[in-house]
Amino acid sequence: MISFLSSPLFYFFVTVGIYFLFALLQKKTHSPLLNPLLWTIVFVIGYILLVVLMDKHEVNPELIEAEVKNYEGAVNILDILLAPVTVALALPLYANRHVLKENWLAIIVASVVGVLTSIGSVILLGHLLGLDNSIVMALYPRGVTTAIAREISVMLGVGQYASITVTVVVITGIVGAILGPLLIKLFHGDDDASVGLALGSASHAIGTSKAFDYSQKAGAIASVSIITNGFLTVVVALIVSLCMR
Amino acid sequence: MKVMKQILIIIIFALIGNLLSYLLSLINFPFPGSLIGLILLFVFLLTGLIKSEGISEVGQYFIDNMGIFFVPGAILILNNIRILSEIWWKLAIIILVAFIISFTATYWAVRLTLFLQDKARKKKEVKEND
Repeated sequence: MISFLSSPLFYFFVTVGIYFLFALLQKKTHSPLLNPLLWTIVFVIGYILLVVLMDKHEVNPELIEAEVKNYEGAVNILDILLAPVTVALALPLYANRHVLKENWLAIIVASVVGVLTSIGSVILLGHLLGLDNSIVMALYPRGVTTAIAREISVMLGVGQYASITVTVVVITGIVGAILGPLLIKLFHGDDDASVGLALGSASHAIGTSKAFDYSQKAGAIASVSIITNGFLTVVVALIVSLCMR
Repeated sequence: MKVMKQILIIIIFALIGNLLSYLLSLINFPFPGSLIGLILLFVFLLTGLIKSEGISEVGQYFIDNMGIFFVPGAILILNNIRILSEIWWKLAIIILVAFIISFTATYWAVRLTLFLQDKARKKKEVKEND
């Protein structure tokens, strides 16, 4: 039975099934807390631990690592497709090219300020909290859209922590989608550009879905800022990695 | 046929990106291949060499369901469970505080930019009227 429950096809089924369930729930409720990626991570981790426990009657890091390898083999196709999925981000950028053209100065200012304060606060806080330098570097792209964030942690040579990057990015997005609107209320924000750019550049795609609640324009400008923000962070990462040589 | 053709087009851009990324890495210039692919596809869309309708079904599907493609990478967090059990609260503080700082800074920077742009525009109008 356990070999059936940990077979590649069953692992794939569990992954897509949980994701589908939460995507459906989120579509109904529009709650950022029901983020499908976050809950798929949580439930798949629980499921893998359960498989290890049922199979070996004990759980230790070595057994977990072996089962994770088994799991990775089952869902490898998703990882392989990540590059073309990232390339597809050109489509929303193209669809919003007029927004980019009309607001280019505000978008550049937002990206520069967003990226520098983001990396700056990560370095400062990481140092204050005594975090290991390679983990701090894995947090540089905390506000960048997941696809680009993961590439950045690999670029910085901390690919072994890319999974932490991905998780932190998703949680940042959820935090942003909840806190962002509260901060906007506090600032008495009403213009589309500042609302959209703050949400998009501080909490990427998940924040952008909130920007669309304000207006179509706020959402469009937020979608553009996700990409510009990602690129600028790549440039900063590039400089950092060249300086480290 | 249509879906397969769209998948192939997008994969070709990802592959060209990866190839160029590999060539750049030879001259010690690390740049993610998928981002090169993204820029190339954007340029091809702008110049009209590729019509956005020609890749929109698969492209939109990828974008709408992007999250699932990160699951394999994210699950590897299980291999870092020992470190995480020690630092998770530090990560939580960083997530929260860094968000508030960068959100607030970005918001006011844009407000200031728009204000200055508006002022410059009015000044120009006054000058033209003189």
